[in-house]
Amino acid sequence: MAASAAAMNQSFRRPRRVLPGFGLTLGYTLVYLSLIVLVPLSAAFLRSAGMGWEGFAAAVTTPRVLASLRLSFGAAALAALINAVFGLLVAWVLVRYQFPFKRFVDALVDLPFALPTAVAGIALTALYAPNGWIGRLIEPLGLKVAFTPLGVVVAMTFIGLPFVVRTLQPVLEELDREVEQAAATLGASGWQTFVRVIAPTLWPPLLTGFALAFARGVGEYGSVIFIAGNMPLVSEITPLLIITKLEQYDYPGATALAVVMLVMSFTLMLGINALQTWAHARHGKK
Amino acid sequence: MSISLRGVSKQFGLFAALDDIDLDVPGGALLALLGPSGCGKTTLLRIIAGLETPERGQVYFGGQDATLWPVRERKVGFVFQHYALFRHMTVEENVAFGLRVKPWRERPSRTEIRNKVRSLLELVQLDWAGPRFPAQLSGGQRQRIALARALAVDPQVLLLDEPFGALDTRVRHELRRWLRRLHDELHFTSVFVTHDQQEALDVADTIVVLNRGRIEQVGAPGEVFDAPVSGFVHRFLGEVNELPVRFEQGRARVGPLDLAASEGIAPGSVALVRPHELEVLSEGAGWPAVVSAVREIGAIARLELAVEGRAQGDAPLEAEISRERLANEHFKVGQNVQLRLRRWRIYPAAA
Repeated sequence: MAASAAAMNQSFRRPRRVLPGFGLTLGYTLVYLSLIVLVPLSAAFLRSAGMGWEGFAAAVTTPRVLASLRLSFGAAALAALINAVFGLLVAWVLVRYQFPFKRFVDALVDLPFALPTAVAGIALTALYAPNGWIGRLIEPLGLKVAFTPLGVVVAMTFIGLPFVVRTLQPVLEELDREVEQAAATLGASGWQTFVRVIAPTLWPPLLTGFALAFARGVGEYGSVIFIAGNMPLVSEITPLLIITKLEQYDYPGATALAVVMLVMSFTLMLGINALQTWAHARHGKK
Repeated sequence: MSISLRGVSKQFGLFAALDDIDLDVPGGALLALLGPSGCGKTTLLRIIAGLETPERGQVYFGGQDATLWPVRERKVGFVFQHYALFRHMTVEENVAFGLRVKPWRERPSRTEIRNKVRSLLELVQLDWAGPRFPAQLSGGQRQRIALARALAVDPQVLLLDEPFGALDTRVRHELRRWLRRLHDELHFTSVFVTHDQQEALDVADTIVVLNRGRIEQVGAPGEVFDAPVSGFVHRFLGEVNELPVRFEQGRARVGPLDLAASEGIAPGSVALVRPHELEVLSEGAGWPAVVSAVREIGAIARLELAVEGRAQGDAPLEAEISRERLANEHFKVGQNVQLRLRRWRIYPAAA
C-alpha cells in the first residue's frame, strides 16, 4: 500500500523546470496570436461569407482574377527559386571567403529589407524602362522587363534575396570543416563533397529561405506595381486587384480575393513545412 | 609505404608551428607524435595528409615527392578526434562513401561494395550497426566506424589525430589494444597524434617527442622513457621530482646525497627523479624527510615527503611504493623516514 501510494505521489509530481511561467506565456501567446493574426483573418472570411457560395465562386473565377493569381503565385515561386540558387551562392561566398569590403557587401544584402518598397520599385523601373540604363541595352535583344510579367519576377527577386541569404548564413557557418576534409581524404572531389556531404545539410534552411522569399513575393505590393505596368490579364498582381476592388467600394469582392490568397498561401506554406520536416528527418539528423 | 619529411616548416602568422622537421617513418611502422598542445604535432600530421601545405620542405611517400599532391590523391586514411562522420548517412553509407565516390572505371560493383562494407563492419565488431545513424552510436563505436570508413579505400598510410582523446578511460584503453592488433594484422604505416604519454608508450613502436615545433627525441618507447635526451622529454613522459643540484668539493649533491663527480655538470643543474625511483626507508642513513601525506591509488601508494632545505612553495617530493610495502612498513603522516635515489638524471637548468 505504502509503496503504491508513493508511486501515485510520484506520478502526480510535475517535472521541474528551470524557468517557470509556462501557463502565463502560453496564455499570452494565444491571446496575442488571436488578436493580431486570427481575428483579422476570420473577419475576411466572415465578410466574404456574406456573398454566398455562388457569388464567391463567380467573383474569384473571372479571367482577370485567375490571370492575376497565376501571375502572383507563379512569379513569386520563380523569384524564390532564383533566390534559392543565387542566395546560396552569395551566402557561401560571404561565409567561406575573405575579400576586401566583405562587410560592405554583407550589409548590401540587407538593403532590400531596409529600402521602402516604393523606392525599390521606382529604382527598378527607372533601370529597366525602355529608356533606362539596363532597359536600353536589352531592348534591342527583344527582351522587355518593365511593364511585363518579367518585371514582376525581377521586383520579387530583389526583395526576396535577403531571406535566403540570412537563413543560410548561420547554417553554413556551423558546418563542420572536418567532415569536408574527411570526404577529401576518402577521395571525393570538390563537387562530390558538395553534393553528397554539404548539400544534404543545407536542404532544410534552403527550404525555409525559399518559403520566406516566396511568401514575401506573394505579399509584395509596393515595388511590384511600379515595374509591372499593371495591365489586366497580363501584368496585374492579385494584391493590386484587391486594392482596385476596394477603391470601387466592392468590399465583398475584395475580401473574396483575399480569402483565396489566404487559403492558397496557407496551403503552400503547410506543404513547404511538411517538406522541411521530411528533409530534416532524412538529412538533418544530429 | 614509407614516409619521409625533409626540412618541413610551417608558420601561422608570426608563430612557427613547425621548424625544420626531418623525420623518417619506415613502412609498416606504428609511430606516435607526442607533445603538449601547441607543439605542432597535429599540424605535422595534417601536412602528411595534405590538409596543410608546408611553407618549406618536402614530403616523400615511398620515395616520391608528394609535397604538392592534393589530399584525395595521397590515398591516406585519416581519423579525426571528433570522428567527422557524415551524420545524414547511415553507418553503411558512411563506410561505403570512399568506394562510391571513385571514378566509375575504378568503382567496385554494388555487390562488391556491400560485401566490403560488411567485412569492414565485422572487422570493427559493429556488423549490427549498418542501418543505424552515427547519432545512435556511442563515442567509441563512432570512432570505430570512422576507422572502418578510412580503411574502406585500402590506404597504405593511416593517420590518426588524437583518435581516442574524446573517449572515456576504459573505452580508450580497449581501443588502443584494438588499434595495435589491427595494425599488426593489416600492415599499413600508421602515424597517430597524442598528448597522452601513456597512450604513446602503450601503442606505438616508435615515439617522436615534439616541443615548440621541433623534434626533441625519436626512439622506441623504452628508450625514450629510460634515456630522455632532455629535461623536457623526461618531464613530459611521466611525473618527476625536481631536485636542484649543489656542488661541494668537486661532487654534485642533492640534500646530503652524493650523486656524481661534478665535472661537466653546469651550475644550476637539476636532477630529475621519478616517484618510483625514490626509495623510502623507515631507518638507516639517507636524506631525512617527514611523511606529509599518504594516498592509496589502486595497486600503488603515493607518499608526499617534506625534506629540509626545500624552498617554501616548491612541490613536496613524491614517492611511489606498492600497497604491499605500505602495509608492511606502516608509513604514517608525520613519520620520520630516510630517502635514497635509485636512479636519476641530471640536466642543465635551461632544458
